[in-house]
Amino acid sequence: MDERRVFTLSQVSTAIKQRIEEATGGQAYWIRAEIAGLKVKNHAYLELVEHKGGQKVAVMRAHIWNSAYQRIRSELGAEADNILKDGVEVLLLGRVDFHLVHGLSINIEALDLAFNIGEMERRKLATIRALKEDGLYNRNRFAPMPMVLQRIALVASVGSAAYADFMQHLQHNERGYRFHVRVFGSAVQGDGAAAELRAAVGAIDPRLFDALVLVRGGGSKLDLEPFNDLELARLVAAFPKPVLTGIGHDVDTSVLDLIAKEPHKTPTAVADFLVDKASGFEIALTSMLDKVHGLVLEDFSMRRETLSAYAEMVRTRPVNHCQLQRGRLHTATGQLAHRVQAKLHTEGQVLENHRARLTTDPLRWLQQVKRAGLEELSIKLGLVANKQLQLVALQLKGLRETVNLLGPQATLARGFSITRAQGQAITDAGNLRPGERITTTLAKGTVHSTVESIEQHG
Amino acid sequence: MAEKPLTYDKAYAELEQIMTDLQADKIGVDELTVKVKRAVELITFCSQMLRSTEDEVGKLVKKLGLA
Repeated sequence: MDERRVFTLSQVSTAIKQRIEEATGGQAYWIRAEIAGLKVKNHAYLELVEHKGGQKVAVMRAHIWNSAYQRIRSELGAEADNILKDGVEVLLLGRVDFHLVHGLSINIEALDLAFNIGEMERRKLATIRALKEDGLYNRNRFAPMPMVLQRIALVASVGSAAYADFMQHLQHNERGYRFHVRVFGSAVQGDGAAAELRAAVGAIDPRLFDALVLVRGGGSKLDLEPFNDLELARLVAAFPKPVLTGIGHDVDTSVLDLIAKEPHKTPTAVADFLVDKASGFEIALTSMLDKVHGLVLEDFSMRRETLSAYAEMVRTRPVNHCQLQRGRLHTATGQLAHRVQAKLHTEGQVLENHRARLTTDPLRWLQQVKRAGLEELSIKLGLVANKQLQLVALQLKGLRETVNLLGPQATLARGFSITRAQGQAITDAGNLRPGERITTTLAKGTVHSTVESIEQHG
Repeated sequence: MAEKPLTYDKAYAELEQIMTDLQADKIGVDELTVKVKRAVELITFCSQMLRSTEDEVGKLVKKLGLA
């Protein structure tokens, strides 16, 4: 007989249970794990899994008692379905529970929502970083924006409120603009949404559209997860036409919003943007037309002014012109009269000359004939006279000699006298001085006297 | 004068020539009446063209529901 100690199962289980309780002290731990195989009946049953390098490295059963489950759901609020599902990594507060019948299980008492949101943010940041590394992050922002976006590729969940709002606003706009919308249907949240969105965007031929619009109604934070999908973001960023988002959330921004050319908060806002853009284009056209019209009117009024100035000139110029011509005519007439008179005068003189010559020439002829006769006579006369003159000259010469013979004595005898001073004959009283002694020669005798005073003549 | 259909530009060019000649007193008395008559014709034509074109533009602008 072996001295074997045999334990009952319950003894073992109890021992294990005791050991665990000793080790944990009934304490709860924060555990990070992935949810799998979640089943909710009255209570929630699931598996917690840890993956490492694609391999399961740890698996453990877990449960959430109904009361805790309801509390957790209400704490998670809108995010409950996003977190309480398979594949989601959570941070849970749990106690290691060993049940004699059900074995080892983690009793989940609470979930940390902040962890999931933090994780989502972390993944979002990783996506952004990857896009930046690919040079895709700003790609769509540089997509050229046409003046009007009319052919729209719409990615939305057909039949959703977001889809209806967008279509309603766009197709029934006040100004009656027509838009051509082609819908590429896709789930926008939940499992598989990212894959559907990728397929929808991938199916769009950018050449056929002016813009890509992605819309979604409101949702929880974690509902945005598909819009942070890296592969979807790559497709959207590389889309060669402007991307417009209306993903419907107030606080958070998805990666698609960050990379889209025109991010808007709601589908309605995207529709309004499209309508406003068309309207802006129309206003620009209108003002251009107004400008053209204004320029035409301005041009016309200038032309009209010129025409009326011309009309005025046509009215006055010819009259002036005629007056001028009349003036010239008048002047010409005057000149004509003057010239005719002058001409007549000249001609008259010529005639007069002729007449004069006609009357004088015969006389002159006669005179010339006479003069010739006279000249002959005078020559003869000259000869006679000359002889006569020579005779007279001879007679005169004789007379002069006689006179000379008479000398001053004869003159003196006729009562003239000669006055001398210092032997010189005085002819000018100015040559004498009072008190000077002078001698006066008479015809008979000489007188000596002294000058008393002088009186000059001439 | 076998006329080609008169256009505003042609009419205006001709008008300007007449006006230039008129201002320079280049036109002889013989021609004066002819030229003045022509000038009046051209002015009338141009004014009518302007008027009708302006109306036309106005209508077009109105047609677009503007102005």
